[in-house]
Amino acid sequence: MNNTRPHFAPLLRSNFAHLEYASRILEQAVEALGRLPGIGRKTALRLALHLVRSKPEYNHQLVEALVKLTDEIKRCRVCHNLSDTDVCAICTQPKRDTHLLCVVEDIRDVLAIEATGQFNGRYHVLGGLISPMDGIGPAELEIDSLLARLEPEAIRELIFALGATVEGDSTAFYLFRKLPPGIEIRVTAISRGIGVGDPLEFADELSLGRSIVHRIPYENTLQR
Amino acid sequence: MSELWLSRLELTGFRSHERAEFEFVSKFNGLVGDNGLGKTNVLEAIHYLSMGKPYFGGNDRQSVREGGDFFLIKALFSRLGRDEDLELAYAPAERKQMKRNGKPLDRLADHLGVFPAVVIAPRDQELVDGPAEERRRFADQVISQSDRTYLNALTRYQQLLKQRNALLRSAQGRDPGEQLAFFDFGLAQAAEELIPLRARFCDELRPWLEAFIDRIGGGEQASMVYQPDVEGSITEVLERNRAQDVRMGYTRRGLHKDEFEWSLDGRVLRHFGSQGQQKSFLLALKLAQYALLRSKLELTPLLLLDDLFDKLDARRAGRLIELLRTEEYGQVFVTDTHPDRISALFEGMGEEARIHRLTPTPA
Ligand SMILES: [Zn+2]
Repeated sequence: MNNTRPHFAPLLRSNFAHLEYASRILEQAVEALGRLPGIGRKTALRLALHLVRSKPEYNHQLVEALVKLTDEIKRCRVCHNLSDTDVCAICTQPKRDTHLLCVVEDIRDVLAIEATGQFNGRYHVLGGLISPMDGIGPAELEIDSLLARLEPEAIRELIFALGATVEGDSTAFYLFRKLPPGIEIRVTAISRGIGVGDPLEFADELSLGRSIVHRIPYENTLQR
Repeated sequence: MSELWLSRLELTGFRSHERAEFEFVSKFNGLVGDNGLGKTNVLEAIHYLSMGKPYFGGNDRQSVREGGDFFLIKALFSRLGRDEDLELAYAPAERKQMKRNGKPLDRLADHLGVFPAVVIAPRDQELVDGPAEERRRFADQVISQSDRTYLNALTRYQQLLKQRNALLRSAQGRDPGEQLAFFDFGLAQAAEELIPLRARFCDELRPWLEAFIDRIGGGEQASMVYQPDVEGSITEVLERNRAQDVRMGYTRRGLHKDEFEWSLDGRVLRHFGSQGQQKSFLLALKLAQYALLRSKLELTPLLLLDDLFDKLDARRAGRLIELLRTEEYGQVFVTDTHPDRISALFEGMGEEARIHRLTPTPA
């Protein structure tokens, strides 16, 4: 117990508060990097200094990637997943079961579910979850476009693969009640092998795969 | 030997302590020193290790020493015969982080009940004088430490309530329609789980409370009654109040308005108790909390007695210490400004007791 310096070394950071960078250019870079989520000033400075020392080719590649990401990335016209083309690679894949539709919050969930290899249908990316605290209501999400897909695509099963959080639950509940009356569709939810309160992205591959295979009728999730 | 005891504590940048180290004994530890030397802050650090948050007031940020950037609490303790360590680090820009045996804890909730502590302090008076929220928080904390189901349902209820209120606020007087349905459904569901557990808590605590008030004196019959804000169906009440909730912009009825009514000899303590009666009741209540946690967790919690003589005169303090010497109680911490009073209290205990003097830091 002799070492009392905590791992995140706040002692160091305190010194930066008083440090002048002596370079406006460096300062601007630190500021821009520091706007990224989870990047504090100290980390931003470390990254900036790393970039200064990097090979110019590498930095130019980084700049090019950022520009493309900004100007060229699209949303798939069908599922609203991020895509390079109008319709994404998943939606155009021929071997997919087009009658099976999995509703997710964002692209990270698509990646997570694809990684399990247990799902062969298509997706619909909502672009968030209902959360009044964050100013997100149904109008801010791809909900109308989801409802509009059901009949033309002859969807037979709708799977809610949303996190086991209040926001995930409220979104599923809202969607369920918005389904056109009389529509013949099986509505299921991934089983809650994933912990209560966990967002989907934290679930490990194996348990996520299992919870997709063993999905349950949505109504059953409303009972405790 | 106590089943749970803190053997070593190191504070860095915590409240008034720039740097402090303590080696404790497994039974009685007296913390002595003038006001302002940080006796209570030592208890606060121990409470942090137990609950991950302060007891005596303020927040994490305010627990950072003036002019500092972070605080660090490190502890070695013995739990059911095993040596363990705990570490809690906080810096305003980072997340509060706790490690048990070097392993970071993902969720503070997983730690509740691992290192239980019960505080008895002058500020307990808030439990009598303060709003119902204080009594609810007391009940919630005690139940949560021993019942994970309760903690999960409570967390969910609180999140649902926040979201429902945000929705009502953002609707600015218009009915948010379909969107309310889920929150009403969810609140009712969580309340259905929580209300019986709150009632059960009262039923379980009451016999202990009665026994302790009997032992301590100050009244004949102590009681605690749970008064849920909504007796019947929450769904119905939410529906009935919908228009008003919409107009006011928040949820007016529900579990978050429950009351725990405490009384002594048939009279509500808040309105009728004398100072002396209230203090006796609070002491009995805290000892009852201790007994209940001990029986649920099968572990003797730490007992943190801040300014003991606020509640008791020397004779009764002596009797309490005699009680705490028994097997049923574990490690005890007592703070006082008078070294003589504590020395007298610990007389004849030998190795069982140690007095730690807090001295001003040399300039
Ligand atoms: Zn697509």
